[in-house]
Formats: sequence, structure tokens, C-alpha cells
Amino acid sequence: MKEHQIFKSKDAIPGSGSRHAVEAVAGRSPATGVLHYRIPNTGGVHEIDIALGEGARVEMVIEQANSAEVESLSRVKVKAGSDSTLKLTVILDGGAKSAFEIDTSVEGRGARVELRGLLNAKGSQQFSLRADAVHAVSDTYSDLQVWCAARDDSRTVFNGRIHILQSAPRTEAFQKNRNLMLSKRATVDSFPKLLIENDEVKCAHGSSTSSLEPEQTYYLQARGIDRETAESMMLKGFLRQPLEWISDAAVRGEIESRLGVVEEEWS
Amino acid sequence: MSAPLFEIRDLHVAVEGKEVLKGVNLVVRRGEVHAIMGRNGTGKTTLSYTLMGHPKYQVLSGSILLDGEDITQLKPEERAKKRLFLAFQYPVAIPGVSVASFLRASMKSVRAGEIEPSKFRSLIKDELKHLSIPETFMTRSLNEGFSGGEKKRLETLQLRLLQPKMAVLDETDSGLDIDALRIVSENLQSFRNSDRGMLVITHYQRMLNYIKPDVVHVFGSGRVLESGGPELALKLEERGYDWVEGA
Ligand SMILES: Nc1ncnc2c1ncn2[C@@H]1O[C@H](COP(=O)(O)OP(=O)(O)O)[C@@H](O)[C@H]1O
Ligand SMILES: [Mg+2]
Repeated sequence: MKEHQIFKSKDAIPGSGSRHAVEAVAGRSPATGVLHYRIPNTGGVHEIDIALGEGARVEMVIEQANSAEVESLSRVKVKAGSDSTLKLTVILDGGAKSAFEIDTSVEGRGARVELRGLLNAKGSQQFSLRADAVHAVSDTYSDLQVWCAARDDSRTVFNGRIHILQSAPRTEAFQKNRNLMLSKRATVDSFPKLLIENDEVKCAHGSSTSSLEPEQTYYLQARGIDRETAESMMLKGFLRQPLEWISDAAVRGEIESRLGVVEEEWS
Repeated sequence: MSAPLFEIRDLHVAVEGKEVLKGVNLVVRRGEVHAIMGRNGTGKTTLSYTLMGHPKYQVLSGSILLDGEDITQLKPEERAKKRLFLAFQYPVAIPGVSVASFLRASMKSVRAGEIEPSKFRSLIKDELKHLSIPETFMTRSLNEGFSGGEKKRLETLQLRLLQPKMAVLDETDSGLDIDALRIVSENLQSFRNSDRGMLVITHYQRMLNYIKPDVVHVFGSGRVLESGGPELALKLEERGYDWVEGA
């Protein structure tokens, strides 16, 4: 049996942990920009509750940028009410071991939940992301896209599950996982699942794992760019993708610069 | 007499263990445009990839010379720096890498020492106008979600920015509508001068109406079957390939 997560719920994780709650009512929150939350660098278990009331629209970025030795488990619970919209970006970048769990309950009609995840593992880092979305009512939408990059001796695990209940016709749910394996010693696991109890739904899921694409390297080399530079451009390109949709340029810029994937501005 | 600009000598190439090119010979002199026409699957893209140093295409024997220098063993980036250029039949998409940063990296490498990086932007802007490419393309991911025609315009843009002395164009005209064909062809034609050479791979006469070739080659079974003047292209368009291949 494969171990599907870096930490199990029963594991004792050293550190003090934390709790954080976001409760949003109708309208856009925050009014401008995005909520940018950093997991406290204390280790342990972190609970984050995100509750979206009717008509609430939230854009949030959660970053785990712990220092090198820290181990943590973060549990995010999302409740999406009627006609609410959540755009959530999750970035796992620091720490020795880090597990992230996102349980989304799409429980109000017309609710839309979109998630982008980035697991950027290097050295001997171990990251896992488990994301479960349960669609309980009709006319709901969820889209989960996760990018995992594993360098050196690192490990990433993705567990994704979409569960559409009988009571949720006209639901659309999508899940996509792209993995980039940059070293032969790295380990990448992906377990996407779909559980569908209603026929009147639109669903798709997919997972791909590859190393850097030789045809891309060749194209860049053909334009005079040496192999090493080409590969670094491609890796940066991969890491930038889940960040592109963050609407707050300042927050996006801050994250890009911490990840070392900043591109020169055009204008 | 000085060495020809570009020379392919008895080139044999295998891909995936199969010999695809079986003795290609070709000489392009300064200022000349050569066209290569031939059926699908005859090895034209294999030839262009090999000329640019694709690692999957193994040179079994023969050589490639640019300005008299043997470049057969050089890496693709070294060939680019020696001012060889390939416009890809199928340009590759690279998600997350913007067109602007790609162009800058490429120009920095190929034209370093010749122009200041601070001039890149205005140079790119000029060429964008020539090719009717909106500036919004600069912040998009390279070739990602681009239409066939947009990709070919971008290939042409790169050619103009990198100023090669020898350019190989692999079906740059396919996937273009009439307006795009005109724009791309005019930009290629105005790039032509007495120092540069071009090898234009195409199925159609239509691009050759803009870029009049000096020599036309018919390609088949991994080699040049027949060479002639511009009239050969017209004859091919009229009569197909059977008469050459049967010969
Ligand atoms: N990367 C490759 N892997 C396997 N076969 C290839 C590859 N590239 C070309 N070939 C084979 O070589 C032959 C010539 O293909 P190609 O050079 O693409 O022809 P053209 O460009 O004239 O249509 C074909 O039989 C094709 O299947
Ligand atoms: Mg071809």
C-alpha cells in the first residue's frame, strides 16, 4: 500500500499550531486586492475555516513558507453558500514536511469554488495536498488545478477527490494535476478520484507526470538559448502558471519574487 | 572564390533507428533563395530539424557547412549564434514563459554585443507593427493557445529580430489565411538581401509568388530528386509529383 499523505490525521506533529477563520458575507472581500494569509511558522496543526455566505465573493492566497526544519499540517475547511464564489490559491514552498488538506463543501446552489495549488519541493522536502470537494446541491461548480514540481530528493503527493451527490444535478466539476519531475531521485504520486452519483453532471479529471519536455528545450536552444538557461526558463514557467490568475499584482509579485520566478515587465 | 554561404553534403540522417535522409546535397550562395517542395513524409522537417541540431536526429554521415565552417556537431544554440535560423513547422508552446521574456533571452544570446538590451523593446515594437501582431501578445505564454497563423507570424518576427544570415523556413506558409500569407511573405521578402540565404520549404506556389526562388528542389524519399529554376514550382503545382518520382 502506498502512503497517500505526508502526515496522517493521527500523527503527532511537533509545534504549537494555530486557528484562523474567514467569514465572508455578500459582496467582494476584501473590497480590493486579495486576502493573503501565511501559515504561522510554528509547526504543528493549523486549522483554517473559510465560510462564504450567500453571494459572498472571496479571493484568497494561503502560503506555507515555513523555515527549513518546520513540519506542519494545515487543514482548510471551505463552506460555499448559495451563489458564492471562492478563488483560492495554495502554495507549499517551505518547511521540511508539509501536508495540506482542503475539504470543500459546495452546499449552496450556484456556488463556485476554484482552487489552484502549487507544491514546489526541493532538497529533501516532502509535501502533500489532499483536496476533497463534495457537491451537495444543484448548479454548482468546482475546478481544482494543482502543479507539483519535485527536484532533488523531494517528494510530492496529490490526492484529489470530487464527490457529486445524487442531490446535485447540473454540477460541473474539474480536476487537473500536472507534475514535473526534475530528478530521478524525486518521487511524485498522484491519486485523482471521481465519485459521481448523479448522471446530469459535467466532470473531467486528469493527471500527468513528466520531466522537462525535450521539444521545448530544443525550441529554446534553436533560438540561441543555452540548455541550462532554457531549463531554468521552463521550470520558472511551470511554477508561474498557478500564480497567473492572482488578481492582485502586488501579492503575485511578492510570491513570484520569493519563488524566484519573476519575469521582467514588458511595458 | 569564397565558400558558399550554406552547404549540405551527402547528408544521411536517422530518427528512431530509421534512415530518413538518404544523401541530401544542396548549395545555397549568398543572396539566393532556394525552395524545397515535396510530398508529406518525405523528410523535409527531418532535414530542417537536423540542420538546426535536433538531438533526436542522428547524422549518420555527411556534413553541414555555414560560411565554409562545419557546423554538423554544434549544439542548436551555437548554430543560432552563428546566425542560422529555423522557422518551425510546428512552433512549440511553453506555458508560463512570456513571449517578451523569450524574445529578450533569445536576442540577448544571439545579438549580444551588437545591440544594447535597452534597445530590444523598441526593436520588437517596430517588428510587431510590420507583422500586425498586437502588443498584447508580448505578455502571453509563448505559442500557448495561438492559432496556426499567429504562431507563423511569431516565427517570422523572430527571424526578423535575430537577423540570421541563413534561414530555413519549414512550411511557414501553411495555416495562413490570404492576408496573413501576404504579410508574412512581404516581411520575408523584404528581409532578403545580397548577403543572406533562405531555404523555403513549402507545398504551394502562393508564397513563392512573393519570394521568388532562384532554385527549386523537388524532395522525395529523403533526398533531392530534381532541381531547376522557378518554373519547376509551377510545373509541380500543375502536374503533381508523380512525373519526378517516376523518373
Ligand atoms: N521524431 C520522429 N520520430 C519518428 N519518426 C519520425 C520522426 N520525425 C520524422 N519521422 C519520420 O520520418 C519521415 C519523414 O517525416 P518528416 O521529416 O516530418 O516529413 P515531411 O516534413 O516531409 O512531411 C516520416 O516517415 C516520419 O514518420
Ligand atoms: Mg514537415
